[in-house]
Amino acid sequence: MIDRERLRARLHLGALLPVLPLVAPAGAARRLAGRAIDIAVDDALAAHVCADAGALVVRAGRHAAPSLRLSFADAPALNRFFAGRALPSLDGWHRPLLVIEAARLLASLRILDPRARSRTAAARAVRVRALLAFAVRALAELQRGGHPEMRALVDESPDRVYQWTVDDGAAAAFLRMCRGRVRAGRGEYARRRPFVHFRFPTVEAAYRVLTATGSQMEAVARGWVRTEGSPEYARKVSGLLQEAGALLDG
Amino acid sequence: MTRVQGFTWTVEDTNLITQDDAWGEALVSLGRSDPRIVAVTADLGRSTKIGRFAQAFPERFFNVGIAEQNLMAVASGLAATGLIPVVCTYAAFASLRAAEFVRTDICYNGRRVVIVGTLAGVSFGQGGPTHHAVEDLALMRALPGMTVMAPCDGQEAARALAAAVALPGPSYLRLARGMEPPVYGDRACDFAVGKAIELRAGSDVTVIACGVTVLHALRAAERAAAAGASVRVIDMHTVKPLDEACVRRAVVETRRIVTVEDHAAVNGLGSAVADVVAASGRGCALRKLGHPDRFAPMGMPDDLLHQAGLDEDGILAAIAALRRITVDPDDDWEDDA
Repeated sequence: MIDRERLRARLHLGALLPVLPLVAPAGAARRLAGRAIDIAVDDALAAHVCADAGALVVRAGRHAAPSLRLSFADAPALNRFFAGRALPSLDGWHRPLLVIEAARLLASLRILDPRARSRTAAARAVRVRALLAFAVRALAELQRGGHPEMRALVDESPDRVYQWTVDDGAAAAFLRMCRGRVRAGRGEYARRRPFVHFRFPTVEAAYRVLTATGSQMEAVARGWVRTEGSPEYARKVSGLLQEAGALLDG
Repeated sequence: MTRVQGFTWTVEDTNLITQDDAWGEALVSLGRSDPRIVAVTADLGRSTKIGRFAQAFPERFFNVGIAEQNLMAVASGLAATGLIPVVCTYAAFASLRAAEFVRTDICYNGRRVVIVGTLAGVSFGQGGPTHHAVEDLALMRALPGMTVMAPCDGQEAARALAAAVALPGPSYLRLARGMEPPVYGDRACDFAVGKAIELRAGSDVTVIACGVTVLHALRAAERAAAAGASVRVIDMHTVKPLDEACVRRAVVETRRIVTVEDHAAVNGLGSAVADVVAASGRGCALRKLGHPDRFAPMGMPDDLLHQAGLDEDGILAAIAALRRITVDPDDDWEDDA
């Protein structure tokens, strides 16, 4: 039986948190230089944020010497924290500026909140990039977290690529899977044709579909999304993606 | 006269089994629009359907008798006068018996001659190895300046003939027995010399076929789809010049290629594709389906194709085998940062 709370925590750490480099406030990497923020339940359910070569990075696992540690008693506690309903146990209070920076960083993830509205074209473009990056990572984490349907899909899959692309070049992400292994990637996978390709003509169309401001039927009818490749597998992956979203929403 | 197929076949039966008159009708149509077109045969006017042209334009039709070398020499001479000869005989004779004349009289002189070889492959299986033509693609594609086409049905054969007549140099049109079910049916065949046609999209395996095997490839792809495989099917109607860009796309996009042809496994379509795959420098699993290195027995065409693994069952097995292979693996399974 799958532990849904741990799977949800895995999505928070492995899919949501890695979107930070795309949505973080300007200068975050500079302010975090030489320091690291750990977010962990235990050794298996941990991630850290740090700056590497001037860029913000999120890595799985604990940092060897974190400057700030956000610890949680269990997976539900971490999930409540990401839902804004609990606080972590903090190790690093003596670095108040870093605590503030951590809060700002995590707050920037609210861009993915379905209730949030992105009012400018630039903001919508950032959100589309973040949503696509989140989507492929979420699917990968479902597999790694033992989600039965996702694991069955990946276990039985030959080398296949599921690609999401905004045709005007604004954003792209892919999920590659092959017999039990899965990889979430940004951009277009160049080494083989996608098995299923979700194509959005523009950022605005992708925004409408990914934030579900219109119905699926309307999206297809208006040409906001076009699916090339196996319709059966497209439906299956879309369903799993919705499940990941629902899981994250609790 | 006995007309039971099998060991009791008669020459009369060859007339009965060539039912698709598309290319014969096309030749008559082309003859009406271009008076330079003439037809030449080696005593096979009826069974090859070039006789349709003889009925329409008797003064532009020449039967040289059972003398295939002379057939090619006469055609070359006619071409030298500015005419456009279309010669037709069985593929085995056009390619093998007349080979030196095709090379020296036609290709060496760059003559505008259209050579139509019918009953190619094992499509005249009942005729036995003497009438099988599983070496013609190998021979014809080795000749400098020769354009080699292997259409898959009547509609494509008619379009290929029109394209061949318009070419400035020699060309070889490889036809089967004419009984094959249509591939294109009501759909228009967008034929252009050297430009392959993607009949079915797919991302797991690409099947590149020509001639009668195209239909088998489509059927195999449908069955493979039921098992979850995404199979691209390419109608590679022009074996020379090959659509190299199409092959390179398959190398990059599906990384597994099956070639299939009613021809020897060596030096036909599969070998032409293999040349492109090797030159690409990319990892790609390739399986060439063709007749093995032995003479096929006398038999029904469908049985001979099945025995050689060139029908939909054989193609399906090749697809399944390729899907089990991991090619030049991309072993980067780390998520992007």
